[in-house]
Amino acid sequence: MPTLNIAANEKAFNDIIMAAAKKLENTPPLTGSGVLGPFSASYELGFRITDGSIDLTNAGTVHIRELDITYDPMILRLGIDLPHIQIGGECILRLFGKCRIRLPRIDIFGDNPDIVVPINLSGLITSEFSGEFSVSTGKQVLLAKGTRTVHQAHFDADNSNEIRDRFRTIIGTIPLLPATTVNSIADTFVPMVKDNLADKWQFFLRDVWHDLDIIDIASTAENILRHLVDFIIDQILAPIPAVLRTIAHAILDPIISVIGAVLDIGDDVFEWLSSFFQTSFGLLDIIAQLILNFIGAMVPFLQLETPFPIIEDSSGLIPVLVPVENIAVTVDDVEFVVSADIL
Amino acid sequence: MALTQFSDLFASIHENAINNVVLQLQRQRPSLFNYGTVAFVQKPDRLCFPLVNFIDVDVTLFGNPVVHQESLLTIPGYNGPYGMEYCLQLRELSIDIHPPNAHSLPPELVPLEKQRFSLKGKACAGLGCPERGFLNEIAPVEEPFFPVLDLGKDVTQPNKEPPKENPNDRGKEEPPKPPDRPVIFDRPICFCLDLFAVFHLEMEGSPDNPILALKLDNLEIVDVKPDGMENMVECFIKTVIVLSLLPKVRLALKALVFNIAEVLTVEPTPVSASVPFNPALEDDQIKVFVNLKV
Repeated sequence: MPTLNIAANEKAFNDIIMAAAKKLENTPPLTGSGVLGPFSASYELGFRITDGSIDLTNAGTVHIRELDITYDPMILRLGIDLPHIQIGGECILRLFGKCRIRLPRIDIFGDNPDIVVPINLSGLITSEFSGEFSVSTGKQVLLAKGTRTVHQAHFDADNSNEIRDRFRTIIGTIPLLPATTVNSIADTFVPMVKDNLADKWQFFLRDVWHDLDIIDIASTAENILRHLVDFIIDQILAPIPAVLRTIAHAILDPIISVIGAVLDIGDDVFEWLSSFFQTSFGLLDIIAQLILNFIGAMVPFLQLETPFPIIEDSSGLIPVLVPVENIAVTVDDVEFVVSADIL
Repeated sequence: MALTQFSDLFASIHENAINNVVLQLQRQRPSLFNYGTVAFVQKPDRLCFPLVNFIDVDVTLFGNPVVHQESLLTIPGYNGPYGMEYCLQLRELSIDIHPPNAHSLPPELVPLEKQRFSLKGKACAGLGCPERGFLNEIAPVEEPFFPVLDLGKDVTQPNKEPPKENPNDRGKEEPPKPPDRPVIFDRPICFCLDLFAVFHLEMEGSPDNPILALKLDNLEIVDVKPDGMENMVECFIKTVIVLSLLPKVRLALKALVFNIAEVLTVEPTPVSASVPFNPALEDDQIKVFVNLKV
């Protein structure tokens, strides 16, 4: 039995999603603007998590299920600054060398920009992400450590090319990639991993499959329908008594949800197939999965030194290093457990 | 059974892990567990319990101290420069969480009840006892006692009385200096005591402000004779622990409530029928149950 266990259940994962959703709601939207000659554009973009859940599976994966991100606000303002046209201003009565009465002067297109076209898609467009991920662990032992003691290995920086060479070998397996490109890709990733000469437990993320819909047709259509119905009932039919409008909402809302669900059937089937065959479908998703897994196999998202420093050195004393071994991640349909042995 | 059956997050640490951490601490920071005067600092092999195979090789490699240096022991009534050498060592520290199996408890503390843990430690003390010849060498030579007797006119003391101390010099005596020269000794005279203590965790305070407190159940020093002395020493240590140490080992559970980014609250799982103890001391482990709240 491992001597150290840390576990999180499915609810904890979903609470984290809920918390992220709440945080995003309170985060001010991104804004920006740009000008190109007479043309200008500005945007306002906010994110809201509107749906989604996390399932832990007996296959040892974390299943992100239909995480919907709706863009709200999503406003694009396109503007054009037309050349100024000035009319009037001429003198119509001049006395004693001075203009006493002038025609009113009108500056047409005096604003900047003069014409603004707002494109408001707030709450309409939704992106959807589904996927399964697994976490694996491995122990990195550098040959460069040699016969150093654990404290020497803790203090000594890794000046060897061991990690770089290993990365170059892995990246070199990609066909048709020039050597210079292989080297520069490897050099990009090495600083993310290279540290001291101590042994390290590394946590790697593996994308089992994923499905990213930049625009989720079903949710977006549902949003548009819902906005349309809301507009018709609340604005156009505003004179109708509120009770009747509430009833109309109550009748139409589930129908819209059903339409959304029906439209989502195709996507659901693909996701079910992805989950069943444990692979992505769709060219972009497959390419993204290959790239993610290629990088993920080299670069850990977390690495812990072993022996692990529990008390860092102070006033010249060596740090207290505690050996941590047998780190493992196990996932079943109830919980996600990280276990280890402290030796 | 799932670890998170009764909470969102769960963490546990086995007594073996805690004991291994303590062992590593003893090996890598020996000066926290070994105290002694200059002779023991310079030659740790003179300690009651030599540490040759019990310290990490890097301690000496990086020049770290093995023994924390203490001042020489003052000899009562002696104002000279010499002081006695001594050492004090704490060894064999271990924790045993219910059920008991990590160390053997003395009969006085058996059985270890549920939700209890015991601590074991061995304290060794050594005194550098000087040889008699050396003591005679360094013993101060003071003026002998010269009684002046009044035995009548016919009986006189022909030898002159030594000059008396000037009363004006009184009070000008310098306070005794702490000793700075160690007495020479061969091997320290040592003894070790095995000490066991049983503790449990208890909830105190109000429901609004619960406090987790450490409580001493019992304490036992093994094989000290006579029994009266054992009882006296145990009583003294218990008093020190209860009055001085334990009041400082209290944790306000409110301090363990964290708010992450103002949207996620992490807090200890409230005690209930399903989680009767939090933290729980059972199955040789300390178990902590934590809930999340959005």
